[in-house]
Parts: sequence; structure tokens; C-alpha cells
Amino acid sequence: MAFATCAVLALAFLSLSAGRSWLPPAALWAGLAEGPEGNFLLWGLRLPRTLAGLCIGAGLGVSGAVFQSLLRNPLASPDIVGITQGAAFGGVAVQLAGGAAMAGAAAGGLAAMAVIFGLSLSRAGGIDPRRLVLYGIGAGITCTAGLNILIIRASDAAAGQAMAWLAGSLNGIDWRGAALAAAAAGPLGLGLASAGRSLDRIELGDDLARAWGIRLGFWRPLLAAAAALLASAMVAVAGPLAFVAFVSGPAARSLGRGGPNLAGAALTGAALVTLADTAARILAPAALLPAGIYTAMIGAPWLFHILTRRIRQGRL
Amino acid sequence: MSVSIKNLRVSLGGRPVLNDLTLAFPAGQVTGLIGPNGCGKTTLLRAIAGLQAAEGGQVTWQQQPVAAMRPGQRARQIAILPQSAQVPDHMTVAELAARGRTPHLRPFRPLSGRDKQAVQQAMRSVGIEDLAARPVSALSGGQRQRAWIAMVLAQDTPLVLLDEPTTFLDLPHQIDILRLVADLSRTHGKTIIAVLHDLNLAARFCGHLAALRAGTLITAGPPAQVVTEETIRRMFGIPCQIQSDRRYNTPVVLPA
Repeated sequence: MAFATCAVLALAFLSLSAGRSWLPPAALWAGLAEGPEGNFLLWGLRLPRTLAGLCIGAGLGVSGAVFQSLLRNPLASPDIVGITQGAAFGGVAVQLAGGAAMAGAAAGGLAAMAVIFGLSLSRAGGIDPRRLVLYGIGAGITCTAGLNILIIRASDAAAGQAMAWLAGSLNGIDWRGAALAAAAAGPLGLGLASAGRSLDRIELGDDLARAWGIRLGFWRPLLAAAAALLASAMVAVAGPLAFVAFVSGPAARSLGRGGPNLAGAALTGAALVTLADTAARILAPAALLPAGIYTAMIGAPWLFHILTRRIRQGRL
Repeated sequence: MSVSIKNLRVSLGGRPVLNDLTLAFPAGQVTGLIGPNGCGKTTLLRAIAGLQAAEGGQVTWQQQPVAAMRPGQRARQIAILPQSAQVPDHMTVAELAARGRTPHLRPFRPLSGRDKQAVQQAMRSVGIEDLAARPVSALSGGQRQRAWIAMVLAQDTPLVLLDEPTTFLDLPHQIDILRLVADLSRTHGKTIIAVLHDLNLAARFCGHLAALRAGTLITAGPPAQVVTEETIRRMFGIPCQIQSDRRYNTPVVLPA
């Protein structure tokens, strides 16, 4: 964990230095000392972008880890089960209609969550995680189809803007975006992290958790709604950065003792997004490729790895 | 009578599972729940634990309705080991046993000295303190079952419910677990209710048996009264002979 914290800090400094003009450490310190008026590159562009990246990565990481614990399934992260797609659809729809993307994304993400949870309710009153993953994939495809319809029908300018955002990118994030990300990731992330012990117990099964006095009927919908809201808010700021929520939780488990590790998931997510965004700026500075492409290049092989392992173990 | 059940009715997905069941379990003894597959044993156990809502009737533990107990209070009175519980990867025996302390922990506080002592004590009473640092998934079936029982004991409740604690174990390990369960009830004064399939082992290790069929009680009482040709025929629909094991003075079923 100490290593992960140091790695995130190092990546954050790298992200501040990297870009079309490279700032060596001395210039970086000097620029930070100059203050907001003196150095626009650092204070106006790179600092908000880096801070937003850290918050968004942490938020997506925590959200994914909460869903994975709550449903005892590594495939149940919001980007696999249609919640980020729902948020993207809601965000684009409301924005095209002239409203606030944040509100649309929150509504879309929560609606997608409510639908897939509602469909996966078993007769005994519990949630069937395998059913939820399947319904979730269906919900994700439906939302993506709806998005395509919206974009085809939109004006060229609006469609272009929406497409760039949908790839998941930190390009052009200002202090307003950073503040939105921090305002959502801070309280929701801390709130979810405080439920770490309950999530750990829920991993051993609904019956045991309830027999230990955990009010599952209250906590499960509440935690799922908070995690869906968190993922949706992050999507509203930077678009659906692919696979960050999915990869962070399982990767963080290997950092700690094997149980759910929400702080670790936050650090892993923050590191992943910062790394992807920095790579986007260093590897192809002229192309301005969105960070979501790099997170997808890391996440897709990971998805195959988990699928093949679960198939081999006979759990899928 | 410590656990008493009155006119309990439970349906699962519209299918009645327990029909007007009235039954009581003696305190400080091991009661074996026996009956064919699907007769409602697991549902009854979950209802006693407060995990299964009833449509009618009630379950009381020491004169208190279980459904009316607050979850935290209930968790300090009643522990349950569900069937086929799964351990997350990498969890060690000590970590699993420590999960049993959950209802005793204060929010945001780690295990207290007393909690750690209770976990040690639980692992000692099932004889696996040497395996404390081993991952549960690396243990043999019998050892793994002991680790689960240590978790239930660490919860430190007067009532313990075990759903098929001996299923998937070979004969020596079945005997081993049942002897342990009988010892725990004797030395710790716990009331234990266990779902069991092997009638001969149930008759030998339980002080009390309750025979179910299709959600109704056939008969309950000491093994010698319950394990009869008549009960076995009504429970399973097969003829059999009953002999007596003279060493333990318990009935033995010889199916036809």
C-alpha cells in the first residue's frame, strides 16, 4: 500500500511534467511556486487535469470494487454491467437537450442500476450475481445503441463533441471539471470506504452477513446506489474511461491481504488513469488520443484473463 | 425448551415448504434434524436463524420471538453455518474465524483483546490452532469444516445452527466432526441444531432428533423413540429393520 501511494504520487508529478513542453523537476517546482497568475500551463491546464485524473481514477476504482464485493463477482463492475453506459446515454441525452450532463449521467447510471438489480432479484429476495452480469451486458448494449441513435440525429458539432467525450478523455479538463470530480469522488468515496467491513462480510454470503447482524436489505441498495452515482459522476466529467472500474478492485486485492481493499482500489484506479493520460500525452502528443484508449488497452487483456480463469474453474 | 416453533408456515416462490409446523428443541443438547431431501430442513434452520420470513406462526428463542429481535442482538444469540459456504481466495483460518466476531466489533475499531482471545479459544476448541496462518482453501475437507465451525464458535452464541456440517466428508471425518459437536454442547452448554443425513450417526451423537417430511413433523424425541421402522417408513417411504448398537445403546437402521 505504501508502494502504491508512492507510485501514485510519482505518476502525478510525471503527469504535471509531461506534455508538449516537458517540464524538468526544477521548472516544475518553479512553476508551482509562481502561483495561478504566473504560470498558466501548470496552474491553468496541467494541475486541474492531473487532479481530475486522480479523482476520477480513484472514484471509478472504488465504485468497481464496491460492485464486485457486493455481488461477489469480478465481472459485476459498472463498466461491464451497463451502468457507465447508462450514465453516458443519460449525459449525452440531457446535454443535447441543453441540460447539465452531470444530472443526466447520474440519472442514467442510477436508472441502469435500478433496472438490472430489479431484473436480477431472485424469488428468495436476494440478488443473483450471474443473472445480474448477463442482464447488465444487455443493458449496456441497449444504452450504447440508444447513444448511437442520439449521435446520428444530432448536429455535426454536437455529435463531434459527444464522440470525443465518449472515448473517455481528460483533454481540456479545467478547474470546474476537477472540482466536480473531487466533489463527487470525495464524499461518495469516503462514504463507501466506511462500509468496507460490511462489504468484506457480504463476500462470505448473504446468509452469513445477515446472521452477523448486517442489514443487507438496507445496505445493499444503498451501497449500490452510491457506487452507481460515483461511477456516473466520473463518467460525466471525463467520459466512460474503459475498464478502470473493472481492473482496479481485483488488482488492489493482490496489494493487500486478499480481501476487498477499497483504499487500494482507489490508488490503483488513480494510478491507472494518470498513467493512461500521461501516456496519451507522451506517446502521441500531436494526435491527442483520449486516455480511454490506453485504459482499454490495459483492461481488455485483463478481461480475457478473468474470463478464461473463471471458465477453467467452471464458474462461468 | 429453548427454541420453540409454533404453527410455522413458510413458502418459497409460491410453493409451501413448512406447513403449520409446531416443534420445540431442548436447551443444552444437540438436536439432529432428519428427513428426505427437500422436506424443509434448511428452510427451518434459516427460519430459526431469522433469515427466512414466515407467512404465519412464530419462532421463539428463550421466549423471545426471533423475528422481533434487532439484527445485532440476534447475532449475539444465534449463529448459523449455512450449507456450502464459500471462502474467498487466500483467506486464512484465523481470518475466517475472526469474521465470526463481527457482531461483537465496534464500528471502525479493530479486533479487541477479548475478540482475539475468543478467536484463539474457538480455534483451540476445534483443534486447528496450528493451522491459523494457513489459507482455508489449502486445507483438507475435514480441516476446512473445523475452520468453519471455529468461525461459528468465535461468534460466541448460546444457540448454534449447523446446516449439513458433515456432508462431503468421509466417514472418519464425519465421526470426528459429530464428536466435536457433541463435545461442544456438553462442555460449553450450547444448544445445537444440526441438519444431518446419516441416520445412524445422528442417532449416536444427538441427544434429540426431529424427523420431518414435506414440511411437517413426523415425530421428535430421543433417538430410540424416533428411529423406528414406522418413522423411517413414513419419512422415506422405505421398509427397514432397526437393531440396537449395544456399545452406545443407540438404534441402527438397516434398510431393506
